[in-house]
Amino acid sequence: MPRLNPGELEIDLFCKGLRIDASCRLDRDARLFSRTRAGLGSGLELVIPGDLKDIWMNAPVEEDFCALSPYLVRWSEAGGYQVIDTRSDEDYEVHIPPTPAWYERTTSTGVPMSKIGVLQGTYLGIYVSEACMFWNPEENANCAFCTSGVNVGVNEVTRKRVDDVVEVARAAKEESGVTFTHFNAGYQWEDKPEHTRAHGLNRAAPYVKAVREQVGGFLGVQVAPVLPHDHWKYDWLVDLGADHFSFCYEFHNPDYFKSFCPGKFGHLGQDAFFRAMEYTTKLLGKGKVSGEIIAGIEPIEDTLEAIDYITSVGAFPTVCIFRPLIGADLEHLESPAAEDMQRVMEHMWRAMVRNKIPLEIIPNIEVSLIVQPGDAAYLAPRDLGWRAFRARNAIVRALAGPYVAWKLKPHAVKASATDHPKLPPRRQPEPRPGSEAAA
Amino acid sequence: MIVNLDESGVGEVLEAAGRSPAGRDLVARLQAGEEPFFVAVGPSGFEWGVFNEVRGIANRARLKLFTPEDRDDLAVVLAYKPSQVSWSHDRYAYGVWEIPVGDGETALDAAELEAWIAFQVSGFHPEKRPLSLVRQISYDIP
Repeated sequence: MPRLNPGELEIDLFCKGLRIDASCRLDRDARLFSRTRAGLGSGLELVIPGDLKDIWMNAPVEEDFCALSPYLVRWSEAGGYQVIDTRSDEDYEVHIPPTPAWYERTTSTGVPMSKIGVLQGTYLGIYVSEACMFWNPEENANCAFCTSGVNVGVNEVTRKRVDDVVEVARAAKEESGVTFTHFNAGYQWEDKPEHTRAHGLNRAAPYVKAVREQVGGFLGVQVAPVLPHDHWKYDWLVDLGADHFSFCYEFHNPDYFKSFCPGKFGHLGQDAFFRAMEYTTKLLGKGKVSGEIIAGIEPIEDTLEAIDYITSVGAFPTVCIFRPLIGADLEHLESPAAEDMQRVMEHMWRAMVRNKIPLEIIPNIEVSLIVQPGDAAYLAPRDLGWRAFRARNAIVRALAGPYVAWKLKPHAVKASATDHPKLPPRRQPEPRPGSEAAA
Repeated sequence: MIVNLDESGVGEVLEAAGRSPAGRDLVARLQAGEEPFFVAVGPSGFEWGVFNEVRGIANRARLKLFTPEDRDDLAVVLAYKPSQVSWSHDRYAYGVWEIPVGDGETALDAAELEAWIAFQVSGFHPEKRPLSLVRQISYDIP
């Protein structure tokens, strides 16, 4: 069996998982394992060094299939950690990023910082609302691969104060070098005009404004798409400081979308994701919006088609390799075959090149939950097109330097995070009986 | 059957469990069944697993009977899997069975109890979820 390059190893680890040898002291050396947000971050954060780039990944360790993995992480006698492929005895050096000091601290209001936000790779992820409404017992329409409904309130704080989030974002920027903060939420009645103030974009708004004004950095928002009559909300969020939107439509094949995302199908429809992705790409420009899909459940040809569609509109694909998470409805499915996933990721690279989507322009955004488009550079032949694309991105990166430096600083925001001419007035609380107002 | 009856502490756990009607029914079912159950000693409440394999891997499915704090009206069976990372104390919850405790000797619904045992033996397979499974948990788990 030939030695794998870092990109191939990343994919194989996502598909096969990792066992932990008794020689490891990961309780001391590694970041805490935290099943937050949709659940993908429940594994071991590690870095695979490489000549093109270092690859950050969250290797599955908790799921049942990991117990049968040929890969074993161990402490080497020479010092440092290695991943051993027990089939071939091939060893791969890996780095284990330590727990940031701020994980151990609390905010001024006494909330553990790691219950406000967590690093997933090198970016800060913050879930901004109560559980996704698809998990409501009345709805019972959660996505079949997701576990967010059993995480929020158990591993995360349900309601996060804006000041707490600012404190955590500041600590993550100053101590961990974070350049990108990502806010996400599940479905929040985006199809219901009567709940317009509760939509995910509205919930994210105060956090985006506060972090833009008090911390700085690049800010992303990932919530359920609003319908076209509410697309103005994206403009509003950009005015508040958002730089990026991502849309998790999961499956390109409509039948799979319907079967495995019953809530998204019933309330929003696949088209809502497409229209929102197209709208925001026009609003922000090429390479600033992403379409998120899961590879390994629907037929591969559908996933390839999804990548072609996403890149054709100027967005970039974020492709999650399906992980049968503990407690998810799809826990009993097999993890996908690494060969299939390599085909998907190589296709992603070619689609990025073909559509000239800017890549890795902002420094230090490494997302450990997915195979990033830049990671896929390891999978493609290093031909003229490959070199030209990388050279072009290097030039754009250099030209963007001053803009990046400016964005990393805090800036005042004029727009209100709670009021907008298109929003209905806020409901006033009922005056208490006997109070002056009631009289 | 319970295969670790000889283990230190197991007798005490079973005796304590037998003081409630729900616990009594559960202990009787575990003892009478064909499945090789084991009783966990150490955790609070009455907790048990089963020695079997699911798709070639040791079954991690655990059930735990406990009474939530300030909820004397309720006996609860929690379904969870412990972490397979040696130093982690994480528990991956699948939901609970909430059993109202009446004034009398409330017994468990026999069919529902069988459904919960089958759910555990299957390694909490989604297609074996009992009808009474509540996925949202609104109290602290001891």
